Amino acid sequence: MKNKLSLMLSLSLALSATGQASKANDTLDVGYERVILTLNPYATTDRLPLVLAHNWGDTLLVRDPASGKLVPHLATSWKKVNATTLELKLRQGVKFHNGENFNADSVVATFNYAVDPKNPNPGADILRWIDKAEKVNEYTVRLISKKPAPIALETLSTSAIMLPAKYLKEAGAAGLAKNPVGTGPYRFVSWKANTMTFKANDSYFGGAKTKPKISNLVVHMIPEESSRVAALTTGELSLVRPGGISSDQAPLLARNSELKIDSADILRFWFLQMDATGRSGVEYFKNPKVRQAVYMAINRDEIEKVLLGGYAQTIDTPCNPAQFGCDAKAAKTYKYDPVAAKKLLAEAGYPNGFTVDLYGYREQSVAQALTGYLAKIGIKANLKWYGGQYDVASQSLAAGKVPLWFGSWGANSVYDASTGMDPFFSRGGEFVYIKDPAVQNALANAGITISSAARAALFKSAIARVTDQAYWVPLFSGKVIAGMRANLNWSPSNDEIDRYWLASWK
Amino acid sequence: MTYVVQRLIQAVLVTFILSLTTFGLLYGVKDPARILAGPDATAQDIVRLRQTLGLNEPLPVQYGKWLGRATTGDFGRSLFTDEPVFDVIRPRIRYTLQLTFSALVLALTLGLFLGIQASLRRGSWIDVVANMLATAGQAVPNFWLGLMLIILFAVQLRWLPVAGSGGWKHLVLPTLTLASGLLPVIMRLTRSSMLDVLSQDYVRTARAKGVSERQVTVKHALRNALNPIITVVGLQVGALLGGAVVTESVFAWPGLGQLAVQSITQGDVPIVQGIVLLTALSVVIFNLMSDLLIGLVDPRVRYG
Repeated sequence: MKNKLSLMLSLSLALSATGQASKANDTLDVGYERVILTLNPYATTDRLPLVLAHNWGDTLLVRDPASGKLVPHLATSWKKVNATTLELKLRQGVKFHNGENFNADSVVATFNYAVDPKNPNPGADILRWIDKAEKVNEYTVRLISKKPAPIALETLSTSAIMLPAKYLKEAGAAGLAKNPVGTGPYRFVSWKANTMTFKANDSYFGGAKTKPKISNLVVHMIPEESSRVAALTTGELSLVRPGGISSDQAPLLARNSELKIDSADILRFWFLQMDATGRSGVEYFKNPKVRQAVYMAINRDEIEKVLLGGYAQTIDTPCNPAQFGCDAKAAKTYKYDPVAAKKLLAEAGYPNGFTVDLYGYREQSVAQALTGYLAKIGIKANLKWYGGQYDVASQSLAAGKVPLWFGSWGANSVYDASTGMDPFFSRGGEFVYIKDPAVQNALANAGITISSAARAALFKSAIARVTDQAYWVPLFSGKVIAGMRANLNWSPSNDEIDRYWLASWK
Repeated sequence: MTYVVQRLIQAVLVTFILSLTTFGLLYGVKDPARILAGPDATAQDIVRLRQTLGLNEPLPVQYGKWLGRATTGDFGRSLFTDEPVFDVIRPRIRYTLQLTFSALVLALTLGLFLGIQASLRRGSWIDVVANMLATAGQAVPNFWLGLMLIILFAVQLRWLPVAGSGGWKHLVLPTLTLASGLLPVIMRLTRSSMLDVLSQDYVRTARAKGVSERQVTVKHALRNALNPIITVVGLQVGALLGGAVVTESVFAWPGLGQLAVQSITQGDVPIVQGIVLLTALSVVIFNLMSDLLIGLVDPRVRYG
């Protein structure tokens, strides 16, 4: 008996040294909700490699999270030489983690690799306005486009991570995938199984960013949310990245005094799209009265407050009001009024309603609520549910089969209304179910106009027309929730790019 | 000898059919080009990708090319990282082997021990406890047990880490979780087949000869009771690998199962094909091995 007891005791002692103290070893342990397979941000549209790329790498310019303005970073200044040529002066004395100098060759090599049609680089699609990059001298480059590109600077700040020319040539895309080299605040150390390790770059140049305050960054990929939350509770993780905590777990974490949560409004927005041209073979929504009835049938306030627990913001626009040109004042709204909606439907010739397919793939509770609201005015919506499978659901959308689409759009994290509206309202494009010449012309002109004031006016007219015709029911814009240890100072950003170099201990 | 040849031919046939169905299924359900291009891609991007990836060729041609390369160990390249499939899979194999092997060892030793004890002391407390454990183990779903173990040993007691890989401590909870499905099967089978054998005439004869009880149990009873156990363990390796998919997800264990889930969600067809073929092959090999092992243990099968 005594033997057994001492065995138990020694066993429990041996086991008890597990709890990690992240502050003690100055390590920011971040939990990720997916396993990522590449660190090359150009090789995928997955956001997580891009998030890390902003930590091990740098862009030419940076969007200042506080002011929202684009500020110099690896480029110190830039000017438009003509409508299709952008000239940038580069910062001198910056070195990559492998010792290579940052100069015009790095910029040219990066863009030549990223937008070369031979490389399947879906992550670089947003940079494809660049036709070619040219070296002017050691620290000056020109980016030349075929057409005027109004969102050029914006995309340079979100997606164009600078790579070392020599390393890119030697290691290629495969090297970049496993062993990225940049100029950023953290440098990549190792990737073992589901864990990636980064160390603070002590000779970081700073620019618009800062030197990291925490010397080690370790990313743990833990796909199961309950396990992530448990690891945060025990201190194995110091942070679960924004998006890794769902709205029903958030109150649970908030009750634990060792933990805290923080959220940020993001660009993604949700909407209900109606097939106004009959592309899907369903003709009901060609009638504006039917579309208006659908709009009035939906209680958007209730969705925001009750279903999404306040982790959402009702929007009236067919884009995110945080985007340039997405002027909420330009939007016409229709008040929630199911009685009036039913009357409108009767006026349109459907006193007994009709049956239609509603497609959706995320936020199931909202999708079900939508069918409930529609049922109240006599529209029987059959929910075609593709839980989390955007790739499958969007195939139907692209094939023109979807009369009612409960969709969401991330807008490539670009703060410009064009990336919100173009995919659904412009000329051509596989997702287009609404063909309104007034909207199409306004968007086409905004795509090649440089003057901000003129573009704002064009977007305004497009938004006014879309909402006046009630082509969409704009629903809400989203929030992401991060969970962290109480002794960590850090906040999630609106553009879903985590700035780990800003994290510090209390 | 015919027995061995017969088994081998069967194994090859099964492998071939498996590779064919996997190939067909994946291409039938999803369009890899669309998935790879991502949510915000345009139609032109997808057309460009389809060409780059050779997805425009007829399926039989794609399958033929793939099979030809696969037989030389070339499973193609990942759609996402452009790495050779085998390079992506290889570092994962060790982890899945580690997990399934330790779960198998745990389930076998504990299952055999409890099964033998329960059969020797029928109706005793050890029999009752073993039976209760078996029922519970089979009734409780893997992922739930995993989460409960995390709450108890990682969050409450802080003895073991929640998730990830590293030292032996990381292996404990996943092993317990994975073994929980197989252990009851082995335990119950050992018990019933031991009970069956123990009532045979030759056991009574052995006892009458004055052979020690230990000798009777191990040499006369267990050896004869082993036959169905080997067969079932061979068959259960497939279930073990299947269970590893769930267990690996809960504990963020970086094995093949987790890679499979990830690759399926991302639609990385070549990786999925590589994993399925490798897993199927290992199940086939295990079944073959258990068949051959039975032949070795039980001469009746060999010459029957």
